[in-house]
Amino acid sequence: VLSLALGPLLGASALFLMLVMFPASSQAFYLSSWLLFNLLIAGRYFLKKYSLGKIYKRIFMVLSGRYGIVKLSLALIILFLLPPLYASLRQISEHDTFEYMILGRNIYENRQISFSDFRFLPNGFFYVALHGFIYPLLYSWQLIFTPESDLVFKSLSLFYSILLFFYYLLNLRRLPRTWWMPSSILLIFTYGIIFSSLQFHLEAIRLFLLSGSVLVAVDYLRRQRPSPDLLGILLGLLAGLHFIGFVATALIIAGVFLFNPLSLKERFWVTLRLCLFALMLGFVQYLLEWIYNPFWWIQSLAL
Amino acid sequence: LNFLQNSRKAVLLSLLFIVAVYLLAFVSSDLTATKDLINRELDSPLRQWLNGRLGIFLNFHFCGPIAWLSVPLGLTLFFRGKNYLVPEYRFILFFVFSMSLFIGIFAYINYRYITGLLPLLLLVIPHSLRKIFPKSEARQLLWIMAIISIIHTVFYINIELFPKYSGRLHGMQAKSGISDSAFWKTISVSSLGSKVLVNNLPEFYLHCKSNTTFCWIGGNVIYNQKGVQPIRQNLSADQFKSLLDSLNCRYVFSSRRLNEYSPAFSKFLNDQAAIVIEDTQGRILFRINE
Repeated sequence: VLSLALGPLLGASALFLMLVMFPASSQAFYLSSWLLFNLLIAGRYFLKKYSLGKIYKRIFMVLSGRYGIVKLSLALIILFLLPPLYASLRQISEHDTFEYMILGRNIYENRQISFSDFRFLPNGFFYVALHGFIYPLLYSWQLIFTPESDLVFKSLSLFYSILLFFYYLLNLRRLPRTWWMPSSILLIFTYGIIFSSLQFHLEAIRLFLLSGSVLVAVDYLRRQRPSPDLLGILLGLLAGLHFIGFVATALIIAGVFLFNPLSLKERFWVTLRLCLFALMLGFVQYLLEWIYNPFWWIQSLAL
Repeated sequence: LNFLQNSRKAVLLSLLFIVAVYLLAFVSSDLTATKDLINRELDSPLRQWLNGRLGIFLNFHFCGPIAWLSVPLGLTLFFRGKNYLVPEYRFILFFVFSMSLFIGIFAYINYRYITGLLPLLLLVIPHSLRKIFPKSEARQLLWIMAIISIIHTVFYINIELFPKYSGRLHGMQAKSGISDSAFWKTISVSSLGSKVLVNNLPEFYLHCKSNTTFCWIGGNVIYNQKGVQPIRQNLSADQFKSLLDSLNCRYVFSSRRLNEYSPAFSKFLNDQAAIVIEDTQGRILFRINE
């Protein structure tokens, strides 16, 4: 579930870094660099650490269980067909989403990210928000592949809500099975959740990343697993998505430092690793904003 | 806190819970207006606190009648046994407390921020119930909460997501819904070569190339290359006409909902402008009368 969720967001975060380091390059350059990076990660880190054998074993376990193929097919249909189907039935009407899309299109057209006190475009548009760039860049990615469509971008909201639901279910696995149904209903039918899922906005992504980060942090504090690198990646993306995520990231890092049962020295190194990932994938966006406009955070609070 | 383990007390808790739901429902009686009232800081002080500053737990509209239960249940679990010594429990308490403090002070006006912790709070509920109540009672309570959530959401599901209005063209009611492509084509053709005052509807820039001035009349600001420029509050209809003349704008792109934030602007548009086209969401292109 986490790897499905991280894919598009890491792509957006990588695009930010590429646009800052190599502005105004060709689309082919950004695309091939990202593909190459993925191949390197797959070869070096993913396969080595978790090994393909384990993944195949897990898939085989799911398939060989009772109604395994049916369950997996149903999950895939819900995850990959339902969001685009819903997205094709409704137009975007969310104010903020339009602003993110304009910024995303502007970045796509100019192939660079400019930093200044505010973003004023020649046609008169004024970008008010001072949040991270990940969500606008998800739209830039969509434009790179299909310049005339916004279907995938619109599908993201429901896609992440479904992933949130799956992740929530995974975290219920220690409870009796008869509890899963009412607990799931509780999540799905809470108005704020259903509203965030049906809107075309970054809200569902933020809910997923925030919940995911806290639950991974809890898991880490309990068992010293998974690796703090995974938590760092989640935190970086959470920060790069939105300013509230930036605040949450800082608090989670502080919490992991304060309540980690390791020695002070070990805690320091873990926190440093978390900070480095968070800086690379999300904080760097705010750092650059701060360099060009030292009072951005005051504006951010005011907006 | 062991009293929660007693089954009779559990029934009492659920009754108290239902009473609390009704109380909150009473406090939040005008639910359709809740979002904008808090957003514009126009709500009553009591509701501003319940739906806003404490909204992470108590916002009736978005968090529903259940989320707040995670507070007593979570705290019971925290102080039960010696759980308060366990690092992950302390971490969760630290994070939820500090995050709600930040949102309650700085970011409560936006309902989106209020819902940020919802999945976590909803996860705390079944896990706490498991540790506090006997299995069967906990399951019953969980079903009661689930059913209340369904009722709440079905009752308040936001019909704004799916417009039911067919729109207007040149002042005439459209027989069938105006399509998105027809709407933007009409606007692009009509406003070509003229300047448009765009009232806080950024979608204009995704569809049209016209020259514009971006503004938010409800907030008394216009935006230009120098940044945010305040305009005088409470302008009269004639003063709005002068403002548009000084900006060389012949068209206004706004919506029925946004116009409500400035009655004088709305009056000016009604008296001195004609509707070119209006879509199913109430977005309108006005042409200022010569």
